[in-house]
Amino acid sequence: MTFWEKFAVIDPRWIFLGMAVLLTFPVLSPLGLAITIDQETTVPIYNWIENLNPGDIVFADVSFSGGSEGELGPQLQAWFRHCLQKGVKVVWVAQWNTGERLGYNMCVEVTEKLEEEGIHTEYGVDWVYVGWKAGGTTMWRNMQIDFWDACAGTDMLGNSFDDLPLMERVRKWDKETCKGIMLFTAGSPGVPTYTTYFHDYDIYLGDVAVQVPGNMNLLRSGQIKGILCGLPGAAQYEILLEKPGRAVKLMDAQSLGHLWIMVLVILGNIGFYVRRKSGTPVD
Amino acid sequence: MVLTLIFAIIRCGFELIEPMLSWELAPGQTVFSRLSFSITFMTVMGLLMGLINLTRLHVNTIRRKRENWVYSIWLLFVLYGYAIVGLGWGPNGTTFNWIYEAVIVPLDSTMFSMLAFFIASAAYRAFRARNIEASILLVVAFIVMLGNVSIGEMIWSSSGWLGGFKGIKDWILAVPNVAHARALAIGIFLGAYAATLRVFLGLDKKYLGGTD
Amino acid sequence: MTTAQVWVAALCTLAVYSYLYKENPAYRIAEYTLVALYTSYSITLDFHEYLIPYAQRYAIEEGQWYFWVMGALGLLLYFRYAPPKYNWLARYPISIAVGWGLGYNLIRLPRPVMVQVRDAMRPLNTVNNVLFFVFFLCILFYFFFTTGKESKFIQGSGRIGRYIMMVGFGCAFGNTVQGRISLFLNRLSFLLIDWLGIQIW
Repeated sequence: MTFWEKFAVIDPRWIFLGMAVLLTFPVLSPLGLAITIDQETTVPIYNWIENLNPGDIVFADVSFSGGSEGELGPQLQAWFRHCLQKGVKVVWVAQWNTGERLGYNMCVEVTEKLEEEGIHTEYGVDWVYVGWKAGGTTMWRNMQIDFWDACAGTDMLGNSFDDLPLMERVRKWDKETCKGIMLFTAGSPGVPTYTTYFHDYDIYLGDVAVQVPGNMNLLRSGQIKGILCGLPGAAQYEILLEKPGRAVKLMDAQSLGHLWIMVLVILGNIGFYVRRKSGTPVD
Repeated sequence: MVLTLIFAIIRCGFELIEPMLSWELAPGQTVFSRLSFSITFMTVMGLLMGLINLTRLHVNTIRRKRENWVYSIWLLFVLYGYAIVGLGWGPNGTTFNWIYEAVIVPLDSTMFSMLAFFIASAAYRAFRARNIEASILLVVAFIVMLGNVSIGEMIWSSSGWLGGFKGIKDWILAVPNVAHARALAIGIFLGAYAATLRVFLGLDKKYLGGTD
Repeated sequence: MTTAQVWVAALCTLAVYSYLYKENPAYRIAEYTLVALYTSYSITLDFHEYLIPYAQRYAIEEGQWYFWVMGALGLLLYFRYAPPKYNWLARYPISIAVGWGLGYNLIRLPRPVMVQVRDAMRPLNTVNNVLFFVFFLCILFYFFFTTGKESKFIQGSGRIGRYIMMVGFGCAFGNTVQGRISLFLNRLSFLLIDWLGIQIW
């Protein structure tokens, strides 16, 4: 068997091993490659929060589960940190019940890190986690009309809205109360809830990389104002915040992972053409 | 089918006629909100259906000693155990959350992350530039991949000619990709809306478990 | 996460990754565990975060009798498992739920798409706008399966549309690769840094 014939039938486990080994080194020791900030997708989200006043209320939606934690987790934490640092109040909702608690735990991590840095935040005053409410898009419509009534007056932890000072200002989910919506989404339900009922609000997306090409459509039509595109989006946001975190450090490993796949595709194609030319049956 | 039509028309009324949203049953209780809460209440009453389905399936597997029947015992144990913990102590309970953080999230996350390996394996096995279309796909994929990462910036900087890989990637995403996504979105919408109309007009009764 | 949680999470992660070597009992157990846990998780949330608070507030405190009626209707869903003589009863709640969702789809679904159609009609005053419009039409022409087969113009435009669609799929592939690698990197960093404690940065 020639080299290319052997390569064509190589055990895929060698490819898996190569991937794992190649990515281990930059994870442990980042190379420090430069990251460019995307002016059309990431910067609008940063500018939105940056231009808000302390005390302004924004809504955020957790529409993902553990499967997308790798991409949307760093985005969520970077964005939430920005909000708390600016004094912007955040009301969290969740369209996915499977991501409800995940989102809450991530928010708590951010508040704990800020506490260590001397920035004090208080649940119920600076942020409230309403969580998931059954009913889908219709529930979101009811939240627009009467937020307290739609949520039965309680948050995810069972606290009554009467005990949460921030909720006193959130009787309805309307444009007066809400200075923008940040949606962290990995699928359905997700964007359509907002492009139908909240079409005249400023909507920003934290998106998984897979969905970015499809959602660029919404960006171009003006239905959304900005997108954080996967892990690079989180890394760019961390750089804008001047607080590089895990996302920045994993970007180097991203580069090597991409190179590995490109090398495999190129070798696969070279082997394909060499075998075809030599008359060997090809796949 | 008649019920479907009635409730669809009622909902259409609420969506089209704004003042209908303010109709109140009592002060602070709108008809729309109470109707939608009660319909959601009705559907949430079916919360045990997943449990029943899984139980039937796996009890059958155990009884007939089908392949992997031993794992079915484990599944039923975990299913009922976690349900008892959750229903008994609530979703804010320590044990419930402990298991969520330590088991559910890592398992879910890892299952999806395996796709990284499978995409590498699939790319090398199947991604062949056999014809023009595949070649275009390959070239564009490479440009987008290089435009997304720092190594692409190192090879061809975005401050260079055409904006480097990033600049070309941004143009591809902004022009041909948006044309593609928009045309597909319109096509999908037309198909979905036609299906919705079929159900509304009673031409499609599959949701009731029928065969037409 | 506590130390015990980190260890359990790491073992779960390794159990799933063991599938990459070959199918084995650890992976099977992990797979079945996830299915079971997610089902129970959904039941718990439905019960404690919807049924109890909403029943208490609206059905009991506000005394809204129709909640009990709808609740009883919801119980009819379980007649799916009844003998064929009775399982038609499950159709009532399904019909109501489908009708309610149908009304939303009929009225609300078109708007976002119409906004996109409107945006597609851009002024043809820049190269990008012209190209976008041409590409958009070519892709639409590709989907003319029942008419225009004789027209060389439609055929040719459809061919260009196919190539543009390949560009779109190429974008999707490129972004998919990035997304999947990100997911793996998250788990890898958890294993190396959170579990094994190898802290270089």
